[in-house]
Amino acid sequence: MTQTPPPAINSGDTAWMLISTALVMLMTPALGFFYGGLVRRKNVLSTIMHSFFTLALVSVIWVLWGYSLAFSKDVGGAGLIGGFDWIALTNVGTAPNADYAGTIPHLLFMVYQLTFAAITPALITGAFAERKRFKAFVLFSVLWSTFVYSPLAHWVWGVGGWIRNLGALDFAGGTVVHISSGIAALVCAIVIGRRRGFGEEKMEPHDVTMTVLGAGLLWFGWFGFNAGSALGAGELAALAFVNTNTAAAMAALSWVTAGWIYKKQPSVLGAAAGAVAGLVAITPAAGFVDARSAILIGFVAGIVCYIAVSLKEVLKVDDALDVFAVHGVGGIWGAIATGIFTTKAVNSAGADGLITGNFEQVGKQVVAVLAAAAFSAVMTFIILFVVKLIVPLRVDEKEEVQGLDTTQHGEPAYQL
Amino acid sequence: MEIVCLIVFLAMVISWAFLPGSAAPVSAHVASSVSVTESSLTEAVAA
Repeated sequence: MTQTPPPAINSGDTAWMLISTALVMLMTPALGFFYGGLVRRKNVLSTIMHSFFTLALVSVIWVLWGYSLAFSKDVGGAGLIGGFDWIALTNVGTAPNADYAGTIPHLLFMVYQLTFAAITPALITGAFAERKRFKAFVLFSVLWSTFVYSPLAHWVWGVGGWIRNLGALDFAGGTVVHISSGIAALVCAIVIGRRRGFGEEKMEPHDVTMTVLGAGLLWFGWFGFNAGSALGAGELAALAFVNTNTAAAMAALSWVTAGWIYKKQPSVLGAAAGAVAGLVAITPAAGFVDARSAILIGFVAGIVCYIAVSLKEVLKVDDALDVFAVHGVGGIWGAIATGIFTTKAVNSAGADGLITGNFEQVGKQVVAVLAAAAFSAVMTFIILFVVKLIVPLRVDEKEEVQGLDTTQHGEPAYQL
Repeated sequence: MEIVCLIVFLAMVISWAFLPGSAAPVSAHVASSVSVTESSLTEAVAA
């Protein structure tokens, strides 16, 4: 009787995944620039700090317990949460783990996932920019990463996770990253309340060039996010890479066009936001659809996210930097679009979707969306309630008027 | 589906030819400042 040989490390796959990890890591500071440019100059440092600090904070959480809760052996067989087998990276070494990525070191898979875990709570920070107390933000991020992100990652990607077993598709984190953060952002915006002067005074972005720089870096890093999710340097990575760029481009064009029709001018900010909306929408589909589908997914993403931003204004919810409109709505569209456009012709490990006659896949995608959205909404509300018992969520009025850079961090951004 | 993609893209490109080049006949200096009078993405859309 012959034994199955242990999985072997592939140098090409390992090289690509090391690069992809670095690319995705760059996205979190890039998000800081994207958000930082959109706020008023008195809050730019605090906004950038939200992203930068989250990167550091979640990096340690993930090593200590986050990765274990998300990816180690399922507890109880319900597919809800991993256990403590890999706490502080116990038993996580350089040998590949065939359950997740059989050709790269297990440690590399862990750190690649870390970069996803880091950016997700950072995305939420755009909703409460310019008013959230720093201590409250830190406590919220620790709890949210532990009790929302890790379980959701387990549901969708973990061996034994119930959404994974259901057969819903999420190539690179549309559900885990974007829907969860988008919904959480909406809850945060409602619970924390509007910025003082919202709707009464102009709250101008202080540096659109910074925002466009951030969007460009996000686009660049997203190649690691999506093409890296192939977990190897092969055909699937190339497919995801092309789809990522195509959808981002098309969404930038459609958002600008929608704005051009409505506002009579092609907005630079619209191009940046549109590209991000396209990147969000293609994330769950990147490895399951072809480039023609990516064009349509991107086109619709630019339109629906533009409309969502407009609707938010009507609802008077101060999601300051439109996290729900871009990541929530874009993520939901992407998840459903995956069910529509997925085809085994481009990825035999995926599934056929609506365009190839399998309506059931759309149903699975909708179940995943509803489950992730409901879980994120309820848990975010509970976490905010708990945090509020310990520390006020908002800065006081005087601090908000003066700005968070000096009141929370003691540092002005610009000495002009 | 390639036909749908072509139609969508070309319709968008053609629409640009009929959309206004600027909101009003303003100087380059004023036009450049107009773009930063938008507040957030929200206000950029709703203004």
